[in-house]
Amino acid sequence: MSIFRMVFKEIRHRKINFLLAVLAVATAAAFFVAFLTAARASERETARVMLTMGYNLHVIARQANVDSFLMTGIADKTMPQTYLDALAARQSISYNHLLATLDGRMSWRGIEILLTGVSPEVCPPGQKKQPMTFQIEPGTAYVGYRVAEALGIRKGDAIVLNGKELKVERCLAESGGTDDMRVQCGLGDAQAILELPGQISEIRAVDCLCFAKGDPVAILRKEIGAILPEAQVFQARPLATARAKQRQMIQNLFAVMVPLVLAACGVWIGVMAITNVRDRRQEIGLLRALGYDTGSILRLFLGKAVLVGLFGAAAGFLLGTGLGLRFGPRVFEITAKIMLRPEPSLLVISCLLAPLFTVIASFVPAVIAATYDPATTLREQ
Amino acid sequence: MLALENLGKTYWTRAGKVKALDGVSLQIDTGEFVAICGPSGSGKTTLLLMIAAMLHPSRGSVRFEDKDIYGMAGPDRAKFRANNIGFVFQMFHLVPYLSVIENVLVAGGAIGKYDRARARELLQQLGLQHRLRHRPSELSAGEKQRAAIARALLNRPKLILADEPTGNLDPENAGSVLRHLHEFQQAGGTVIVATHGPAAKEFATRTIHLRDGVIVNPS
Repeated sequence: MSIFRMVFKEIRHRKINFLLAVLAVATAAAFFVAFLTAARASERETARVMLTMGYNLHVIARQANVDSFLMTGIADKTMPQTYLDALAARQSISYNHLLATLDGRMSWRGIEILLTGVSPEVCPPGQKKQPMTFQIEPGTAYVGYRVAEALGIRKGDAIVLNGKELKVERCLAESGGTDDMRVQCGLGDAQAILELPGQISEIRAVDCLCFAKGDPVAILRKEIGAILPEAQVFQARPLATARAKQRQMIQNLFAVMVPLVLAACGVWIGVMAITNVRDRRQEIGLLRALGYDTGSILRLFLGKAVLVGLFGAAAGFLLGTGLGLRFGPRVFEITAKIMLRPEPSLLVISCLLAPLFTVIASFVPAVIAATYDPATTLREQ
Repeated sequence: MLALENLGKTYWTRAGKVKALDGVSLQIDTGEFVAICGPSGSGKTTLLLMIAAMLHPSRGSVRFEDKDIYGMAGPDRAKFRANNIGFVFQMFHLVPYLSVIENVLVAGGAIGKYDRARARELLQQLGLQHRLRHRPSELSAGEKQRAAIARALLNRPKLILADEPTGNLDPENAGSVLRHLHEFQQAGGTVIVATHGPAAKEFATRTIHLRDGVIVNPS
């Protein structure tokens, strides 16, 4: 009768006891999984919501007039489009969501408009993300609210800018800003219209320095300066700071909550293990009397703890994921559909952590069992 | 085989010091069937547990085949117990979730030897061949005690210690249990039975009376 066979036999005999122990671990694991599923969704949601605040990093040509750029938001000098590729090719850098634009003012059909050519968004290697903004197909245009209103332009119309014909894909809603006077098209189309082939006026990006120590602007200027010495770097500080503070708040909240949840689960499992040891004192006394050594008694209890942990982790993952998916969309309204999803990595983590927890929580009771004085136990008969 | 020298055991309780055994000296030879008699609280179980290498004496020594068993380290004492001593308890102490044959084999686990054929043979000798797969809860008291005897015999011990083995049995089953212990003694084993009843005296080669932790009929 090997110890492991005894573990299985005992589980089969005390099914309710085992199921209750598994239920305890499953509840703890479910809470942990639901909590982390929600936490990750929350982090993504926060990041996503913060992204809607817009690009907070601007890179312009070194020769561009900074005063003019800060006042108008348009760089008066251009730089090669290859700069975008150079920035996007680097790994382990502190920015993402890279986009090149070419801006130019022009008179068109009696009004002054701002023409902006936009490249597809690119991400550095290994940092692939959903684009922050719509992607403009070549040969199409997105027309700002006031331009469309003033010239009676509707979706599907064909417009001609400096000899280049574009189909209106969308007329944008009123923004209350310069976008209302803007016509946006593909970067290649804008380069043709403005007769600036291969040129861009700005690279926009989002920095990833929400959790960095030190001055983010200095870090960005150092990183980008090493790649593009012929460029100037600006960070829209209010945007970057608001984004960083929001993300830090969420992360700090979970940094406090997760250890508390884990500690509570550990105590719970430990109490159950002590109860199990107390229920089995006679059996332990007998085994000690028969000559079973400390290691065998430890294996008897810790083997069961591992099984309780594994079953509890699997059940808890299913339960926690179900709860997260069921109730999460009420919390994360904006991104629930794409951000709230089963996290298979949590199954792996649960299957490693839960048995570890049950073993740690059961260790002291198991040691108590292994060191029970058989004489005392047997005298209690 | 067994030499107890000036054994004493003192317990400390809230009420104060209790002397469970006081200066017990005894020689037991191989092949003896010794009945230790005395009223409840006379020190019978304490004496048995000390002989079983499970209860450290407050003073004195226990020598088994010239080895001081309390001079051994804890794990060695456990191994010594598994190899040399079989136990039969008043409350049977069968593991509730194991079948009868598995309960017998539990004793083999302590020495890493699971002799299923011997377990089956012992259970047959003890009239339990039809109960091999039964759980302890499905057995009568007499059957439980016979299963416990089979467990005690599995590792071919030199000594069987039985603490009130007939305490929970009717006279017929009590007689049956004592006869099985007697058979073990007849085959060359040594048996020490602690009892407060007279039944064991019929099979005993020697009877020792204990009162208040002291042997009252020294021999």
